[in-house]
Amino acid sequence: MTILNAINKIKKKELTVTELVNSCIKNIEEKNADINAFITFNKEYALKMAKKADEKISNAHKSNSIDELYNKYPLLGIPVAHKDIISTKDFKSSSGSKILDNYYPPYDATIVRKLNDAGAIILGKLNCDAFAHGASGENSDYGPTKNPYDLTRVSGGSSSGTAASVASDMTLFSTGTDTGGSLRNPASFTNTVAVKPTYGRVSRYGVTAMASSLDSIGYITKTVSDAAYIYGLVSGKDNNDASSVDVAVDDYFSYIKENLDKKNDKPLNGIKIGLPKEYFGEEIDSEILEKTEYVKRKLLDLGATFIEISLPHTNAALAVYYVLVPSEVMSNLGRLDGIRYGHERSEFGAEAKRRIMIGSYVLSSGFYDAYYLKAQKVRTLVIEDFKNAFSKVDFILGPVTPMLPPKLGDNTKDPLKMYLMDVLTAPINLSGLCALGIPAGFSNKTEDHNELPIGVQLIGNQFDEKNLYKVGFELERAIGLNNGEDKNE
Amino acid sequence: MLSTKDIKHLAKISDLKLTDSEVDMYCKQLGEVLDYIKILDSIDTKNVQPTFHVGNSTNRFQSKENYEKETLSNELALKNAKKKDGGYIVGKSMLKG
Repeated sequence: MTILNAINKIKKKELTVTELVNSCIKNIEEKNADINAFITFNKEYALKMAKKADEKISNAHKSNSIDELYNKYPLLGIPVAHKDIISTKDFKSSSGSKILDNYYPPYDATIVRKLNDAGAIILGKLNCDAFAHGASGENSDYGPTKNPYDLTRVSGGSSSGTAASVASDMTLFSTGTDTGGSLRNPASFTNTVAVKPTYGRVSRYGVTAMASSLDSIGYITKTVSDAAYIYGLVSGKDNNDASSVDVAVDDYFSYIKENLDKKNDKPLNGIKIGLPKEYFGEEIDSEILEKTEYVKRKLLDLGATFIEISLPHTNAALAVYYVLVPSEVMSNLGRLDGIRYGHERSEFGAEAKRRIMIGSYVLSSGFYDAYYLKAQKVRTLVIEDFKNAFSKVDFILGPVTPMLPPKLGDNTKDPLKMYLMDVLTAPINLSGLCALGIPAGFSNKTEDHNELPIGVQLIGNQFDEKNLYKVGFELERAIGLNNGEDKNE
Repeated sequence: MLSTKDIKHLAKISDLKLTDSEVDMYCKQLGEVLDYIKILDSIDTKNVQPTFHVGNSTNRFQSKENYEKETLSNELALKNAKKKDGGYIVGKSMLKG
């Protein structure tokens, strides 16, 4: 079920919020023991909120004001789950770590408050790599999240539970964070849509900071239409986040609303898309490359034109990322001292310790210029690559990860191999751009006879989300993969 | 390559306690990551300015109105602290008397 389908049915009295919430609860109770997407789940709270929403809806039906009600509360009765690093006042927020397994935030993150105000109902908190450090979900202190399409494989990371919960119909959408690919990567592994906002578009307030100059707060949905429907509700300047930006919030859903029932011929006429040659190297899995080519053909059919571009600092960008992230992590995790909240620092997991010590090393007196300052200079070159590209094209298309979802345990012994998973996603964060992760199809059958999801990313210039959603919507329609219905409906 | 002495020093300044087997593991793993990062050395950054922040923002502070409106109560702010006394958090003693 998609958000738009659910709202449609609720408005037509074909579905109650209690029924909707119960269908999610049923899936959580049946599947979570295997998938491990939820860390915290509060059934009573969700059903209590559902009852309240149903009362509001029932009254609105009686007074013929259901549309007005949904104008006021655009997500009334829609179930959501939040990544565990996002603070929720009524739910434990452990950040996927044992060091914070007793932490109940005294306030809601801005994105949580905004979604609550829009009427969404919180089901619980989602598993993730501890402090969002990871690309597979396996750095969680609560065990890895399994891929709903193959339980022997990872669901990606760090927003592992975010993706798996949506893919397995445990919720209609889930929030998460993307610092170097942490929404696009798991979405591409689970046939779901990832929203990586422009840096500063969505407030970071109340989200456990990983790398503050890169952290983007977003979410995962089943469809681009759902993603666009939510975007305006969570965007905007927030006085509690100094890095949030005072740029007007567009109506991101208007194009989709107007065109939902129309079939357009060549709707992407005039749109130029760049294919960075560095994103199509031999280190990328051939099936992923094939699917990206397939998406290119679909976009050509829709009227878009393509040119080859170059982002020469792509490989260097990953090295920049793994200097800057540990530096910022080291500083941000310095606040965990077991005094104001949480446990002692001995409770940190292996990856947090690794990043803290790399950060301490590269920021040490004598090494600062060679590592940190050098990385910030190369970051400027990475950004210039994208500026040059966007002077020629409107969007950039590329794969998300170099490989299909790995088997559980395949990369955990080799941190560097895990870091290389971010090579095609981290440069976008370094440059503060926006991107959508969009499902492109499935791999051939693996040796276990499973077809594995493959996604692509569409990258847009800063604050160009309105156009990004238009292209994403038309592409999704042309691919025709997700009609928004449950697999078992 | 990092020595075990380097790792122990890094752990100390990072306020982390490591077992001997962790020291060995991090010696290898951190060394590999730092080797990888060396690819930055091959890039010419003469006359390139560093970028610390893509938003180009400078010195933004909370407004007084916002600060007064949204501040947490003492009770809420301290609710997760292990030891408290008279509205204060009790910290670790730094000086042994």
